This record gives sequence, structure tokens and C-alpha cells, in this order.
Amino acid sequence: MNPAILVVDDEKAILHMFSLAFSKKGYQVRSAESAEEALELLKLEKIHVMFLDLNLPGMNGIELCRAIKKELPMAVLYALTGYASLFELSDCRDAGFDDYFKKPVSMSLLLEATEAGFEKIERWRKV
Amino acid sequence: MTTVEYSKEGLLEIINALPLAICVIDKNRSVILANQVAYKFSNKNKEPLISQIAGKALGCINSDKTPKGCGFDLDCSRCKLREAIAHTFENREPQHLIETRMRFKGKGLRILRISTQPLNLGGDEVVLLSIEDLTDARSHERTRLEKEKLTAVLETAGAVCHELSQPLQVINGFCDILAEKKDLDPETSHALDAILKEIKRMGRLNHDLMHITRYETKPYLRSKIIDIEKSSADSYP
Repeated sequence: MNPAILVVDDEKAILHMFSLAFSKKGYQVRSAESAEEALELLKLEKIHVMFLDLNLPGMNGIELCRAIKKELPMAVLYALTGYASLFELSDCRDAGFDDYFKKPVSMSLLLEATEAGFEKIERWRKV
Repeated sequence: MTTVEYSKEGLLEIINALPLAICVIDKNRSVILANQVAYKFSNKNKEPLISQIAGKALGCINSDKTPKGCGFDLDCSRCKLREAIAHTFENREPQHLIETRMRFKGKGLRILRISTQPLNLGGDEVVLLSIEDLTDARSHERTRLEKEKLTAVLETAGAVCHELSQPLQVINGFCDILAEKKDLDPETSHALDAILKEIKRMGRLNHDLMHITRYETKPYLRSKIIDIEKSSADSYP
């Protein structure tokens, strides 16, 4: 079964584009438009590599990251944002994000990060 | 018309209680009384201040420019302090809140707000001169306005960054997907490269917007616009 990733962003166009780009590379893409929707989805399916937009309606990306890390401490989480101050970057590290990407970011970079994320999880599983 | 007659002691008691620099000037333009704030303003004790012509007493740099002293330099013809005192003596009417800039020894350029009032001091006609130094207040006001302007710029820049990054990401992503196609003709491939190059340029612009720390402008047609590159933390003044 193809590995699954989760993309959380409140813009449908972004979700659609990510879905197309990642599925072409063989990933199953789950998407959510809000943090609450993402948490519901994660109750049904364990996903270990995720891209979270920081600016989400309701619970923001940093709070979502903390909530996910509580349930799935081994998950690899990447932050995506169009605007972040240095303080927010520091918050990202504190919340448990593995890396941070500033939009616009090339899909090749995100694909590399995804591969690296799955490799990391695989290494941890073998320990 | 001045009706109340003051004594020196009575007047000194009143002016010493006031927060402005106040001097009492006689018809020869000499200082005959001054309050504590005036001594502080002129950086002088009582003796060097009293009996001096007003400009010299306060430390105006023009007062030493000619051997004749205060009031005789070319710049003195434009001195608003001198004009206000002369006008009050001639017309026996007050002058209110006149703003002027004067350069003083050891203090540099100061922004002053001066007022005059004709008085009767022990039977002699004199002028009460009050001086408010606005320099520090103006400087603080300018700093406050700059901060407010920068805050507004930062908030706008943050919103623009966020709003621009979303469509840029979508365009960037779809271009990446298209660029991976094997059967692209050279013209399409060239067009995609050009689009991606411009997206990178807009991304850099967004990055600069995100790192604005100063308020720098540049001319644009007949007006001014913010210079994003110069205002960004990644550039140095």
C-alpha cells in the first residue's frame, strides 16, 4: 500500500495542487481544511508525514502540531506558511515541527522532505 | 494697557512657580529678572544672566558674532524673539505662542515657543518673556509617528505576504507538475521556466516584505512609495 501523507490548508486550490503533485509521486494524499477536520481524520487513520499550514481558521497550525504530537509523537510534521516572524519560527520548533517551509516552495523540495520523513520513521521502526 | 503694578519680589515669586523659562526684559532689552527654569535653560547662574541683553543672556550663538553684541548680526534681523519683545514694547500688547528655531551655545538648534506680555514693574514698563523648549517633545512626537507608520507598514506587509503566498504556491506547484511532463514542446518548456523564474522573484519580494524593520521610501512618479528592499532587515542602511 502506498504511503499516506496529510496536508492541512484552508485553501482548496492548495490542497488540490498538493494532492495532484504527491499522488503523481505515488503517495496517498489525505487533506483537511481545518485543524479540527485533521484531528478527526487522524482518529480514523494513522498518518506519519504531514504538512500543516500555520494560519488555519480556529485552531492554528502550531496548536494542531502540539495536539498531533501528543497522540503521534513519532510523526514527522512540516510547517508551511506565507508569513512568519522569528518568534513564530521559535514557536514552531517548540511545538515539535521537524522543519519549516515558506510559501512559495518548490514541490521538489517538499517531495524530498516527504521522502526524508518516511526514511526517518522507517529508521525509528527498526530500532 | 497694563493696569496692575508688580513689585520685583512679587513677580519673582509668581514666575518661579511657573514651569516655563521666564525672563523680565527692560526697555534696553536687558534681563532684569529670571526664574529658575530660565537659569537652567541658559546654563547660567543668576549673576551672568541678569543685566545681559536677552539673546546673550540665553546663550544665542549670534550674540557673539559682532562686537556690538546681541541684535546686530545679520541673522538678528530675522530673530523672532527680538521682534516679539520689540513689538510688545512698541504696541503694549502681548504676543502669543510664536514658534521659532534658535541655535544656542552648548545646546545646538532648539525649537522654541515664545510669548510676551507687557507689564508694569514698579512704575517701569517691562516685557515678560516666556520660553517653552519644544525640541524634545517634537523629537518624541516624530519618533512616535515613525513607530506608528512602521506598525501600519508591518501589518499591511504581513497581510500582503500571507495573501500573496497562497496563490504563488498554487502557481508554483502546478508549474512544477507541468514541468515534469516528458512531452513538453520547447516553447511551453521555455514559458514554464519563465513563470517559475518570476515566481521566485515574487517569493524574494515576499521575503523582503516579511522582514521589513524600517520605514524607507523611494520616489515613484510624483509621489513616494515604500522601498521594500531598503526597508527590509536583510539590507543595511
